[in-house]
Amino acid sequence: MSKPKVPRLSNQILDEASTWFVEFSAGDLDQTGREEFIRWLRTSPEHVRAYLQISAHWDESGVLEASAPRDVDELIAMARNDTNVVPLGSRQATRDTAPADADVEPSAVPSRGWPRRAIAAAAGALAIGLLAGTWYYTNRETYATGIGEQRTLTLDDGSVVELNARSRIRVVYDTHRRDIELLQGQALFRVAKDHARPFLVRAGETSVGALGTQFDVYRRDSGATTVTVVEGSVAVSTRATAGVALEPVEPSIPEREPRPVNGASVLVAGEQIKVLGSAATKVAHPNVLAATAWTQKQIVFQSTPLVEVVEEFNRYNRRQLVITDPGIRAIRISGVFSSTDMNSLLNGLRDLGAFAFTEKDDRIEIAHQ
Amino acid sequence: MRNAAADLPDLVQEVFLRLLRLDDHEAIRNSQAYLYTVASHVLHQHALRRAAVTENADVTDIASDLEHTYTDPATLLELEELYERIGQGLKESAPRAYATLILHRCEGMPLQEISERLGVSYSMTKKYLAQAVRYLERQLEESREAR
Repeated sequence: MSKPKVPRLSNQILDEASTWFVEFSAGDLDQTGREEFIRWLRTSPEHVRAYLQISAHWDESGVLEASAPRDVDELIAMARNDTNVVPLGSRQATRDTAPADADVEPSAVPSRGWPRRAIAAAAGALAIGLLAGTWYYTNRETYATGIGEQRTLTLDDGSVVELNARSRIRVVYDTHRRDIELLQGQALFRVAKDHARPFLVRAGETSVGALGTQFDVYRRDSGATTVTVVEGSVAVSTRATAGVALEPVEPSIPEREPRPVNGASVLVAGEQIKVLGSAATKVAHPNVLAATAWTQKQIVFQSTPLVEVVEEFNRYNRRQLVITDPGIRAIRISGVFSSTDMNSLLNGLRDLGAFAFTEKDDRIEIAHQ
Repeated sequence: MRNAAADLPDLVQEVFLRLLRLDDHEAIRNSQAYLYTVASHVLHQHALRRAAVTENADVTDIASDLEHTYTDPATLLELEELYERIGQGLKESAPRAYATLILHRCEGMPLQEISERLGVSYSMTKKYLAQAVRYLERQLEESREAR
């Protein structure tokens, strides 16, 4: 049978539906907004179709990732270069190509004459939307946390990811791989064993391959990445070794010699490695408890430079700390603080008596006393 | 996909009618999720009814047909190419809408952060995203008609 011809959505309905969709996507709707949304949906089946169709295509659009530019900064620079800053509504944008009757609203009450093929096509879109949504949701999805928010995710294979504040990961699972990209921040991975599918975490230039282990990856805004192994072992490589296939390492294989990373480096429980660019160094006496203290809502500093302390603080507070005096960036701080009560850290810094604080509306500036 | 569309003629109509019937309070509390739940029930019940009246039809027939579309590597590649082409068009005609779409959909960046990085207001960022959504929809309509 031939495919039913799908009628185009009218410009007005498309405008309205996409605006509603963005409001939900942004999470900005209050009670009144949701009431309006339901009222809008109940106005016409065409509204229902438009909204479900947009949802379906939004789920589908996850495939854009395959062709999306890798470099976020470049993408932003490209966008900022564009001088045509005001987005045109579809009314203007598609005036030339839109069908002549596009602006005619369907009657508010569905009539018996609502074209059968329109309903059929919409049903197809609806069915595709539901199933595509499910598939992409479980197989290719991005998870994010905001300031002061932590999440625990259980993935399809039973692996558990604890996501620290201000962090983002992208998960791509299929029949032969479990790929995770740490886009920003920090996550602790408890990997379920699956010999057929290696578990691979990428953080910028750094890749970590694992089998049935527990490890923490922290990708700092500064570009440095720290990998800490809590249980079992992992193999760490940098971009420089990307051509080398990264084989997950069985925890039973002993690997005691600490060595500089040149090719994949094996890390066992209790070890930690810091990667900056293509240079990687094993940390001499790592404190694994400190590295994973955030999962217990604690932050531990051990001779930590102030600049890193500030980065940490800023993950949990909307009001950001800003160092205005470069001379104090390297001052080292030690202590255990609660991540749910960040005033404890601020008070701790105050008690040191070494710093001067200037409180502004959106930030706290910190300088030498 | 087989004749799924022809087999499911009244789905949207039924979703719509249920939306008319349902309790305001419940609908409003979680309106978007409610729409998806209603739609999914309608689809599921339809599949059950279809299985009851059709010979040799499995309940999951429609589901597996559609799922096949999204797990078959060739189809997936085709889909990626379609979106790549549409993405390029958006990138050229509206770079800011494209950047907002990619950062939000693929990188998971919150809209607030995108507005800061682009140096525009939050409400402008939402307009960029809505623009991208509209563009995708129109282009997908066109490619569907061309087929």
